[in-house]
Amino acid sequence: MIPELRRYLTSISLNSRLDPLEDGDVVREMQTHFEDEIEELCEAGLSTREAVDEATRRFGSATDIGREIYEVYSGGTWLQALLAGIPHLLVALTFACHLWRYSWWLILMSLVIVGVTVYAWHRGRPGWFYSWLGYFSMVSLAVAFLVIFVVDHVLAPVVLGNNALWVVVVVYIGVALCLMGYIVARMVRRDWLFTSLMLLPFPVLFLWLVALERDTGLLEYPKQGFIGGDLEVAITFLALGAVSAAFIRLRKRRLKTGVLAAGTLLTLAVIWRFTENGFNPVICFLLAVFLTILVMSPVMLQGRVVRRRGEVEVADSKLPEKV
Amino acid sequence: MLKGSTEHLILSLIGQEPVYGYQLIKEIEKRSGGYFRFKEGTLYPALHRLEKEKLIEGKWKKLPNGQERRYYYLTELGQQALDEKRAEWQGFSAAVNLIIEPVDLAEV
Repeated sequence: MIPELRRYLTSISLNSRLDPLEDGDVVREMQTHFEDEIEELCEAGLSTREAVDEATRRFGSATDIGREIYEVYSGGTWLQALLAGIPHLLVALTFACHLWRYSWWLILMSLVIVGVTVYAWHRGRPGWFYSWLGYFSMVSLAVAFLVIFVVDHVLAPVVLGNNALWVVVVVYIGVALCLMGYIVARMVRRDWLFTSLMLLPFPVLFLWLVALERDTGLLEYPKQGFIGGDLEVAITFLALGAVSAAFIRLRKRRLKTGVLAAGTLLTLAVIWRFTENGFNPVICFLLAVFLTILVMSPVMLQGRVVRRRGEVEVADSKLPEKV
Repeated sequence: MLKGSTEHLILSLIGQEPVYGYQLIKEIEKRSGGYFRFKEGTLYPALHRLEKEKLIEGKWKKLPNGQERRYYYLTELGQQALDEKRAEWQGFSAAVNLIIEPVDLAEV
């Protein structure tokens, strides 16, 4: 294939940010268009290079077409929006009804999160899947702490010796990093904006833990600490549910990015308002901005990292050498 | 081109016979005597939008020369949408004609 045409189709493919399955079909269809058009222009007397230039000029801006294709496929249905909001709603319910005190509820919720995440992974990783993936990571962290506790208190003294805890920690961190790397690499092919959707609950949970620790000494008296702020915690996770649902419904990428950034910043600001002792406003503002940037960092990195890698991938694998 | 009219034209042509993208562009240009010309790439998002709305369905089909093309077929839902758009257009153009055509004031 002529390099200019390959670059042009690659640009459409990168801007459309489609799932590889859909992307293959869309790009292939456009390639057949160019086969016809270039053949016709060559018959009219143009050289192949001139024909490619003319055909791409007639086709229009690759960036605009890629964006339009993105908008066709990016808007989810109301059902998909609801599915994206459900994990946040589950957490909101957990706090609103003080259900976090019951082990059976936490185990049941963890099983549901793991089950739905695995199911959605095998069903082609639809957009709403990434909301669940964030909580799946939290469940994995909780399991890690549980494993470390069991090893440290039960197995280490009897079976594994004194260094067992460190061995378990290192192995777990290694496995977890490989798993997360694999997941992120799979997501990169689609859209790093979904990584931000996945990270959405992390800063909220982090800030709540810090705020409640300051207000009520959460680490010393966990039950009183949480009950005091349960309703407020529930409201913020309810807000995350609304942000995730809006993210899925919106078509334009800029609006999706905006709703995630604004939603994170506003939720963090609300947490600050709810805390009794209050942080220093400047520190709180800086912390909220830092955490928002952290959530949005995948989107900011994408332009730099993925574009180069994506060009190679698309050029190598999706476009047969016909034109 | 007027907003929404591209999709009306696409549905009308696909309703007459299944076509693929390039063929569709050429057909629109030919039938309109070159009046309708647009950036060809904008056709594909429109086709995929209609397909997502289940108004048309795309299927890969092998041509006699061995090449494959993605043909679009009108669905039942697409036929209903086309009928509605056609009625709407006929009403609109009839009303416009009544206004822009010269009237003999002596008859009024």
